[in-house]
Amino acid sequence: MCVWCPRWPVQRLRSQQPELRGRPLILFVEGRRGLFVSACSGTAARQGLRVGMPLSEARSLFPEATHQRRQALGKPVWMRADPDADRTQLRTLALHCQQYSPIVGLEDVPEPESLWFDISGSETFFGGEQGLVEAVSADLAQQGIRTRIAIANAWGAAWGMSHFGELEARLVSAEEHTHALAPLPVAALRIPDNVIDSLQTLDVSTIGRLMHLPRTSLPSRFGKELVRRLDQALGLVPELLTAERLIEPLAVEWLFEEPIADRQVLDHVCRTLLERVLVLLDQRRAGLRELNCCWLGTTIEPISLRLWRPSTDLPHLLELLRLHCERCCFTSAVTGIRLEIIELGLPRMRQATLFADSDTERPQRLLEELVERVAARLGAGAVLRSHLRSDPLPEFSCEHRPWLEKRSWSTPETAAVASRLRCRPLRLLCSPQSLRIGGLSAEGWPTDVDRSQVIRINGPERIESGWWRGPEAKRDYYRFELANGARLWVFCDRSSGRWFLHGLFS
Amino acid sequence: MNVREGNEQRAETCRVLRQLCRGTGRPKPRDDRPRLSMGIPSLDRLLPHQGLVRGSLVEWLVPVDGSGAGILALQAVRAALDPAHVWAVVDPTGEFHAPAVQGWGISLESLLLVRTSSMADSLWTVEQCLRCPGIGITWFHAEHLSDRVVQRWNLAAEVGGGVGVLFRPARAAHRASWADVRWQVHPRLALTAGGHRVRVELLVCRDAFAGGCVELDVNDATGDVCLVSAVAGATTTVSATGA
Repeated sequence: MCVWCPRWPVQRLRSQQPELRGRPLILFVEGRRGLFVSACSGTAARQGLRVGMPLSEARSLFPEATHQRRQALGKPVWMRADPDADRTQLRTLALHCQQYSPIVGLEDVPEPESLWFDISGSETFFGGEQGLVEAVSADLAQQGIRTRIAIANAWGAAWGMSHFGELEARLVSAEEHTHALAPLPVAALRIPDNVIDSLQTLDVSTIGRLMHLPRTSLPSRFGKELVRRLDQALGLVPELLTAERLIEPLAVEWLFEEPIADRQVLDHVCRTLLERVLVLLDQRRAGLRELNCCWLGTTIEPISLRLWRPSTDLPHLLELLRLHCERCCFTSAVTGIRLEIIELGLPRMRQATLFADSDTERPQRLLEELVERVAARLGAGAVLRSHLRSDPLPEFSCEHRPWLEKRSWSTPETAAVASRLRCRPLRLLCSPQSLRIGGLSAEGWPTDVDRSQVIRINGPERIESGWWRGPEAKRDYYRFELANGARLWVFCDRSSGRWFLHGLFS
Repeated sequence: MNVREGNEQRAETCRVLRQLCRGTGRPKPRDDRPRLSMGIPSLDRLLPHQGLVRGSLVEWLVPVDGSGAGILALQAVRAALDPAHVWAVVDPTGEFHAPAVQGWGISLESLLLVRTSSMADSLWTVEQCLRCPGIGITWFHAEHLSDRVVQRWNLAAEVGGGVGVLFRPARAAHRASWADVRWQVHPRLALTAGGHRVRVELLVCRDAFAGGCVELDVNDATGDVCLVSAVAGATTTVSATGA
């Protein structure tokens, strides 16, 4: 059985934020050529919006409409897409749906929108396949999720039926399997767009027409993928379904006989619980990657302890927990403590040979521990990696991400020229400040800044950009050398003619 | 200044002097520690061991913000970094601009940026970074620092084996410091556009009698830091006239 949630990112956001319902919702992502639309609601699509459209073009379809029209359409909402959150929520939905079948998984694509159920034997509990479809459909509709469902003998056929079938729920028996697939478009085979275009050029628009072509000629003309997908749809080739598994929560808990506020007692209990956690981990030969510490009976936020690498080092974990606790304000007594293991992993491998080269491993290990320690005290968002972005505006030319976040970094398309970067200041003000000008020359140049004479002006470096973010930045940057020895990075806003200080060459 | 304040200041000076004497008198095997270039040969020549000692603190005293001391200190960062060490920048203001660093040949992959929200957090973070052998350079701007804090940092740097680079206002020159090397920067007017000129003076170098100053030209376009040629001493009137 295939359950398709059309426009899943939009549905996900609307189910989580009900206030978005009834308003055009447009999601965008940043690509190589700027921002573009990745998903949109049906209301927005009716205005002419299409996935893959540049965001600027999409915005032009929603001009400052008249009051009546805006009331009719609703004010459009523009949001950055979050594919990770979409996938996570779909996985949660898959786990929820395991009440209908023990084997439920996500379709195997980068941004899935469908759930696959293996319903062999479980349909009898719902009065047959029709009953099962109705139960799943009603359950998800209650959560505000619109679905299209199909049941077939093969995953590929069920996927095609749910996406391109005429009915919202379709049951295909084994006898009518091939017959039911025939009128569907070739896109129902999950083949690449270029193959679809090639087939349509030859007027092969449906699966039925495709099946009439000589099979032996298909791989050489359209690639092996087409034949594989066709066989999968016909149920001739098996297809793998990776089921989502509900992981049994690993947790230890300590309940006090009466509420406790003494920090020493709490520290001692934390240590005891952590030792128990390590025993549990030892049984699984695993290390701790992420842990939640919940303070029962209070409103204090739980502590989330995340490590760079899985660890079983008790003193280190205790220190991290203590540093986290320093940030907590215990306003009321605690009735219990619960430690929940969120993520496990393989622990650090230790060199077992006699002549280990510890000189290279030790600094790296100590650095990881330092990062974890500092992140525990200051927060994960305070320990950052920097990465250049190909954005001409100085305030957007660098991106910072938490050091503990293991994500691949995309390299900007064009490498910034070193000489140009050397003309950037080491200290860039968080927001440009109005320049305190003592006087202006006849040509309009500042002669006096912060009570110091301007000795030399180098520039300009013209930057005009950012119109897609809002008001366009039109700036002429100059390097000012003052009599007191300071070198400033200032710009003249060409829209207003005002001067701003943006950085210092510290 | 009244008499009481004068006495207190004198007592404080005596206390610091006693501490400094104790510090210089102790037999420490400092010379065994590896050396680190400042990245500028003319500055290395001013130092008694032709470079910095690993596990030490270096202070840059700047008269005004924007005087270019950071760019000079970056040369040492470039020379000190290797794949096994990273460069920690403790940035309480959130104004450190990383792209400028890449222009001076330092990969952002080796940059660990720590943004702190309070002075206590900044001091703690600097000490932790100095104590960590995985950190090659720890970089921090400080307005006010107590001697006790700098002394702790000095010990932490000795444990970690990295170098602490501190930027402090020039008025701190009148106070004693636990830093191993202390430079003072005096901005000068460059003769040409596209760069800047600074006079760098070595004020203190622990465990050695050292001093001197050099004038450097920093070229933003090429990234070169060159020693300004000294003008020859004036000839005497007698020889100049040929008499």
